[in-house]
Amino acid sequence: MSNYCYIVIQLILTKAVEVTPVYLKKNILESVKQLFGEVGASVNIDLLKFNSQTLEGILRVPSCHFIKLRASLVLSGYYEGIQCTYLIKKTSSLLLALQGDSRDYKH
Amino acid sequence: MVRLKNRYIVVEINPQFSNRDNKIQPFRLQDKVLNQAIQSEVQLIHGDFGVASIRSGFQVKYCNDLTRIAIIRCTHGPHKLVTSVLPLITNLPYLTAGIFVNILYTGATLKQCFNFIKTHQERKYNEFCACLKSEEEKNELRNAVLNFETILNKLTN
Amino acid sequence: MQNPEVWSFHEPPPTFKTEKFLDTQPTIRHVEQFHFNHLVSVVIPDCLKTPEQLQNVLSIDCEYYKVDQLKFCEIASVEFIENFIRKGKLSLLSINTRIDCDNCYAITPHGKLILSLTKDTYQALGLEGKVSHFTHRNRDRFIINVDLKDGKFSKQKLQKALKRLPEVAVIVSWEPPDNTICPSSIAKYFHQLDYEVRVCEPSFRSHVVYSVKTPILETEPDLEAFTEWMGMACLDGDFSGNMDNYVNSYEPPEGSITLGQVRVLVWRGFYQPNQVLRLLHTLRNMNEMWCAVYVQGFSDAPVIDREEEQGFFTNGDNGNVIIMKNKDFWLCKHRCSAKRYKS
Repeated sequence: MSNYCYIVIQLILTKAVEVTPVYLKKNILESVKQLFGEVGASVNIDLLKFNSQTLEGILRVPSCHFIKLRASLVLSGYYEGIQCTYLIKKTSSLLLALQGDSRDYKH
Repeated sequence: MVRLKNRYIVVEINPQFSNRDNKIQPFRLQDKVLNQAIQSEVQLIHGDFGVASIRSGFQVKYCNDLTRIAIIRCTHGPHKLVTSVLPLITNLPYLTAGIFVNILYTGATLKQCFNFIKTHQERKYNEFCACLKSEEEKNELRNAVLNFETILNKLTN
Repeated sequence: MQNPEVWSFHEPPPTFKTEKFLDTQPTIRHVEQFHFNHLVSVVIPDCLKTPEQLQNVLSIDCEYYKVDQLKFCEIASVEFIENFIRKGKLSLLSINTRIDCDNCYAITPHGKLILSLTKDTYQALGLEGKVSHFTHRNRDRFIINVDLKDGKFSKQKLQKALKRLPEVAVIVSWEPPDNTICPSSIAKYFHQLDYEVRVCEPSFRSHVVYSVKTPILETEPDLEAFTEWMGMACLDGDFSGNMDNYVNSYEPPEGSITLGQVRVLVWRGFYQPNQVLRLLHTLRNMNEMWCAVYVQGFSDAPVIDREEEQGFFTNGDNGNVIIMKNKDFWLCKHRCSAKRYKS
């Protein structure tokens, strides 16, 4: 049984601004802290990959806190004062499975 | 049959010694203040989710200044969130020195809590009585410590 | 009302089974049963240039055909069954249909027709089927399983029933029984029936990860950590983190050595099990260190391997990881959970 869950997210902002990995992680931790408090924010969330042009990233979180992270991402509204939303593209418990989705592939 | 279960937590609130005087400062314990303090601590530790889950059914049922005992009611599942937060409460808004909270007992009904408080107070009274000599002082202490009228009122209401 | 759970929230766990084999035969058997393969990715450590032979294994002669707006009753015609199902191996899968909402159809290389239908379609059809594992309580989804190679069922009855199904886009690939017949005969057959057929080529891309810590496989390796490392290499992840880093605390597994380059090859298309076996055969004696292959199936296929049903809740992942080192083989099966949800 694998320990981690992996999520592919995309940040959508109303105003174009530079996003660095450190600030993105800070924003995610703040959303978790808002919803689940200090106990929720003490989870080890890793940003495995981040593309600053398309604002897509891959997060890793232990499986027992996956549902909490997902709920906080849904309810997260602001990035540094700018309105934003997180689009969750794919989740899996095997990192290899995030390479592609047969639903999106155009034959 | 599905029923709504509650947990009643009996706590003792002790003020910390202030460093300079080495004296305990007397204070009044109000239930609204305690309610606010616990909720803000839950907001800090467990976030919006914690506050929302304890909100319905969270009430400070009984508060006694002299014995510094309070009974907090919460629903059965979320009581874990409240008990995890109680040791972390360090001050009440109107006090200069800090306080620390001891959880004495968790019961499922108010009657169980009442029985526990009765035995707890009697034990404490016997401990104090060992130091006192005169009969008068003993009676006075008995009236103060073993005064169950307020809690009996709460129970019958 | 009882109090809802506030303390622990557990996701239904997917299954990740690992097995070690000392021989190729069991691995071949498992790979053969995985009917519909979509994505194949290969990780080879310490390989500077991709040998062309390897690149061609899954790029050349691996075309498949897309038929738009197919009337599904053509499947039950006598000609089709005689020429394409009884001879050779046919794989057919409906695309742009979602397993949890729409009707999905498939034909496995063993000649079984599998229809995963919603309640309305099933009741209109009139064929016998059984309730899907995932909707046992509310009986919303039904599976019909017909063995087309078997001569006992009535073709007219099947054709009449399938006429009631709406038109659907499918991808199809046929492996002929011998080398004299061209695999594009299936495209010609559908073209003659006035359907629009398009050739689809699998896509290929490759990249190299430089100067990265690579795990060495000892006798009892931690396969979960290894597959996690494989995923990081395939996705070109950030290897620069360590335990104290704020952003990324991922570290390669213990005992890893730094290598100059690791090559990753990814093919996407529609592959039959035989084509995957050919790739494994080519890779077997290639490298001294180890070779790893990840094969991902379709998230909307009605069945995974043999007769196991596929479901989709938050994801419909299913895949196999095959790791080869000298004479040892490890096979890891990753399937999403088979938990039934109340709805």
